[in-house]
Amino acid sequence: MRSKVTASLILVIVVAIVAGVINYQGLIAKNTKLVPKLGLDLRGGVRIVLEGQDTESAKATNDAINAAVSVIDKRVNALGVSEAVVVREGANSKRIMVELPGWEDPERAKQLIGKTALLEFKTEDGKVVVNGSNLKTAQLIFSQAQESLGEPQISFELDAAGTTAFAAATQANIGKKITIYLDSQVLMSPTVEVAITDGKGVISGGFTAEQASNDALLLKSGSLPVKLVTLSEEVVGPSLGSVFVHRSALAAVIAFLLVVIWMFLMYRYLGLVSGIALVVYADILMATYLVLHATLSLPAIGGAILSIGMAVDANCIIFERIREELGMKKTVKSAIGAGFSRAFRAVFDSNLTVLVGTVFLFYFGSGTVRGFAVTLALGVLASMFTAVFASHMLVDLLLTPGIAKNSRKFLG
Amino acid sequence: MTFRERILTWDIIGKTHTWFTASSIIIAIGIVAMVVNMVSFGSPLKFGIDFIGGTVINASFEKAPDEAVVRDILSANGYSNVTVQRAGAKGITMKVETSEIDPAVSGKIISDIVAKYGAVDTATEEITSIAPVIGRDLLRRSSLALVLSLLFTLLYITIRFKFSFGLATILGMVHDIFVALGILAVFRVPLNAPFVGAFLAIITYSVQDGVVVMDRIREKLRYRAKEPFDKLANAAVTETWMRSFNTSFTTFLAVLVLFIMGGAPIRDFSTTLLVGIISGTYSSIYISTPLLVLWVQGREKAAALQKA
Repeated sequence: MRSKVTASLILVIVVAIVAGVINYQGLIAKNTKLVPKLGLDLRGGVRIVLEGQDTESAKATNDAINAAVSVIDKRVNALGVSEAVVVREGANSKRIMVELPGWEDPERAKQLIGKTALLEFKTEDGKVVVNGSNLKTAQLIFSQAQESLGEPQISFELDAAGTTAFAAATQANIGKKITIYLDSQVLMSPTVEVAITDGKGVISGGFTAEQASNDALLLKSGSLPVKLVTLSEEVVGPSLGSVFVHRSALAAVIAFLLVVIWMFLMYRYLGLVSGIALVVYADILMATYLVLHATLSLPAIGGAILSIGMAVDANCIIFERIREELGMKKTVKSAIGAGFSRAFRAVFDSNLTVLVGTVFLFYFGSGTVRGFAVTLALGVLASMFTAVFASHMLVDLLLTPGIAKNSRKFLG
Repeated sequence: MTFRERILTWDIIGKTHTWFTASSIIIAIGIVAMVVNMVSFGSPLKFGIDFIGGTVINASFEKAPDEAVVRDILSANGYSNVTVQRAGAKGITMKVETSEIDPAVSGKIISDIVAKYGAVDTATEEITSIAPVIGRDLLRRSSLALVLSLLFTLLYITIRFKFSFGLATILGMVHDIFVALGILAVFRVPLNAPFVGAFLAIITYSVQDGVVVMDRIREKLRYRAKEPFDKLANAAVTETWMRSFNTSFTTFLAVLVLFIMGGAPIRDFSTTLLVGIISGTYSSIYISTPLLVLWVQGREKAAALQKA
């Protein structure tokens, strides 16, 4: 019996310490791999939902949407947003969701994400000689030439196939114009003077620096293979959520204290045990969030605070049971044993029922619902461990003969 | 006699009529509110833009914007049905429901206001534009998720207990859903995506509470002598009453703190939870168990008749 308690004690302590180290790394040392992942509603940022639409020239096929996702992904990465998310909403969906946490400029995001960015070089007779897919690089430069000094321009370099095609086209069109279009708008229309064989060039389209930099970014990431329209946008200023994060952290602490006080008033010594178990619970739960990179959104935090109250549920079931067993004139020791074992089935069934529910919510729910299902399921699992296993061990461990004799101290 | 001892003497099942009447009145008020809402607003509940689509823009500028000027800017951009309201010292709220301000135009609107009233404060800016089609999708998927998890909870309880136990628990849960929906209808609280979470919490809570009572009845049935089922069920609920109260009270405390401290963004969410916790605890004791008693007594009577 004693050795079993010791083994359980070591297990609980090890789990609690591991969780504590993870929490320290994530919350205090700000280890980048473990920092809490806050939802858009708490951290601020931009979320856009786009939908692929069929046009005469391009249908919104499965492949086209997948290709669009990777193009947008490149563009978003070029913007330098960390933790940006670009996902297709479901395998056969025509919708793409883009999340840019911490981004404050919705206009620029929309311009960059939804734009087709199809670059075409056309001869006078309308033949396309080179298009965006032939580009190797494109970047913003400032003109060094005397007549346009300092003007923002886009310098580009073509790939091998593009270089060959462009060389042939310029050779054949000396003295004629080659027009450069971006999304069917004329950027420039220079007259070819000599054949360009190195595949390099400069586009000057009367850009502002920002336009030139945006367009260069778009050209580099390639053009969208399908027309996308913006269905939804959500923009959250960063200071709105941060207020809530601080307040809810304080709320969690106060809720925790109130629950512990109430449990002590109701169950005395046993109540204190459930208080310790609750500390371990919060410790484990937070660490699980960090390790699994669960997104903490407003409802998820609400759910977590709710779970502080619910976590002692198993303790209440068990302690009430122990009280009943004591009423049957059992010794404290045997009442504890009987209480834990008899109450276990009720605890197990009630928690498993909840888990069954969360599995379905996760599979059929979207966004918010999923986050809630995950936090709820984690809470149930963690509370099973702390309220049943850890509490039992603590009750055995802290039960001195003195307390065991005095049942008022023991259970109030 | 201590309070705990007194609870054991309560005749909860014997007052079934009282509990059912009380719940019927509360649910009836909710249903009346839904009908009134249906007639006067065209929808039993007030759905927010997450479900019906629409746009809300909250933004502050260097100078306080004038409502009439902002309205003009909106009409100039093709939106004349937008509600415009001053918010805070230098802020303005623009809101339209069931049709959205095209995300391609929202930036133009903001920059038009900026031209008149100075730079927008990006730290507190908030734009939510949900296409109606996306809102409807969310509503459909959330409802499906709710119904499926209800069905599988029923299945699980049926496997672990009995169908009658599962049915009684589910009916208790339906009771809680109606009570919560009724209160939301009475106060016309706008329902948005986080409410799906609050509803799930209510359901979860209701089930968890119900299962513990059912477990006690199951245990008592195993050692049942000749006592009538209603006495047995009454003993089960009175014995578990204190536990139900204590867990609900701790959860209630936690959510109450959230309600007080969480502030406006989560107030509707926490209100729904508070209602759900009270209703969930109540229903597992005063609704589900009496229902189970009615069911079992009906069965036993029918069996007795067949024998005779």
